[in-house]
Amino acid sequence: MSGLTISNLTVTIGGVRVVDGVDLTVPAGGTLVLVGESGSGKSVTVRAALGLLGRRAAVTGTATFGGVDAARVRGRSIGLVAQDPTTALDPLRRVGAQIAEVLRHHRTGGDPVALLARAGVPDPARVARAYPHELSGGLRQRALIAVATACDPELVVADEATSALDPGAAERVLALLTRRSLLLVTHDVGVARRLGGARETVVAVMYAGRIVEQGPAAAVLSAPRHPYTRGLLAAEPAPGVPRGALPVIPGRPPEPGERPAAGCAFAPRCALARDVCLRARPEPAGGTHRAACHV
Amino acid sequence: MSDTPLLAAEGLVKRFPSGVVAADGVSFAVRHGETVGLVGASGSGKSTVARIVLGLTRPDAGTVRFDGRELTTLPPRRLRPLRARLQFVPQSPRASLNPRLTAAESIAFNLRAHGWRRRDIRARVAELLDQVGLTAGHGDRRPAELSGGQAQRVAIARALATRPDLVVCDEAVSALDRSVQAQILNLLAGLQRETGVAYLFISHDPAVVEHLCDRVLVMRDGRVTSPSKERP
Repeated sequence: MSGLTISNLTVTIGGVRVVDGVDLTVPAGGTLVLVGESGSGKSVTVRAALGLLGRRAAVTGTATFGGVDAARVRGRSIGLVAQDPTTALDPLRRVGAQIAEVLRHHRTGGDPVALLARAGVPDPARVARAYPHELSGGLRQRALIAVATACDPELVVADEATSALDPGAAERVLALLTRRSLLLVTHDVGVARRLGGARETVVAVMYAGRIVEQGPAAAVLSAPRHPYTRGLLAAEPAPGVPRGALPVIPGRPPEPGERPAAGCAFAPRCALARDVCLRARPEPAGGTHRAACHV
Repeated sequence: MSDTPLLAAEGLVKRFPSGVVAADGVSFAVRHGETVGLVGASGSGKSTVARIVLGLTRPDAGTVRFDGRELTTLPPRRLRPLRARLQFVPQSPRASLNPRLTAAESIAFNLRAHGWRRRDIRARVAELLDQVGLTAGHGDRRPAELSGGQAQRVAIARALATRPDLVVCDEAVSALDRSVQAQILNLLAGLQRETGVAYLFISHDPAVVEHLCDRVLVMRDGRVTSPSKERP
């Protein structure tokens, strides 16, 4: 089984640097959870790595999978679970026919009903005959997973694949995906916690187009080093926190066009920020658990 | 405050042509000023119950009483004045706001629809933007120019504009990352303290519901399986 390696990836769209020198590795047979707020550049990173951005985007850096350009093996060795289960399926065609189309396109045999069953769909024959609007969000999501895993890929890339699901359904979906290498893109840092420690899991936290912290999931979740990661984890509703008194990170992340030219992009929201944070951009430091922070 | 619940749903049943029973005898009440959580797996019927309560879907059986009045059989003309008191915050704020209207115009639209006069609307919109932590500058922006959290603040301001007694929030914070979600949850709690509004808060996230709600209803296969667990 191969892993995905993204090196020094930079994406510029319309003169704005949206992704800025990102290094990421999906461990072979393991999981990388890429966490970031909307606008942080996490989806653009993944789309650039898989060659899914249009010509308007200028991409530099590399993304390799088993020694070859990741974009070339997308669809076969790399399956992609689309972000939005309500729009990714064709509303006018039955679910089974849409899965069959993927199988035909990649010239692999396979039975849509069996694929749905493998994706944890109850009564798969009925779901294959159904139109997308007749299914709940959770069932549509699992149908998309059946599409993504139709060619038995080594790596599955899932962008917010579990965000719309309740914890039970999310767990079942993740269990289906974790038989392969997995790149999970999510806005919810709690997803990493729910994965458990059964296999190698790396968490990378993205802010304003850069990776601010990256390391083994257990280390990042229990001893976060970057103030942004600490803020995200503290903001999770937990027993004992009075209603209306959740600790929040003040302000909001900068839009790609309004990120500070110098210094740390998180500094304006950071309680620990010092002079150096406004002047010099922090570079990732540390061994396997790295953070880009002066403090 | 009277003993009559603000909202009383009794025996709601809804079957879809596909044979799915989305609500199979759902009963619950929401009292003035409280927050009732509705959790359950996707497909358990939460959103169908929300749509029935809002008068967007007619149930096959059962009743919804809002402040003592039966909603499900009310003609649209008579339902409209009640709608001012029964508002909605949807899941996806940027998609639910009219992309052509500025934030202030979206809020004003709701006020105009409920018969507010022009000279009162301007002051009320300014007051609402301030209440949800936005500036007048945000009021001039269209949804595409707002972040997800800001757009959700606009949706909350729009829902609170007519001083409703009940706001139905359907996955209102689910699409937000944790740091913005915490800001919005704090905002909802603060607005409730200020205005006394009640919430029916629908979510698939038990941690969020436990945090925000006075009582929690758990739905499964169209039924309420755990009748209103009181918060300790």
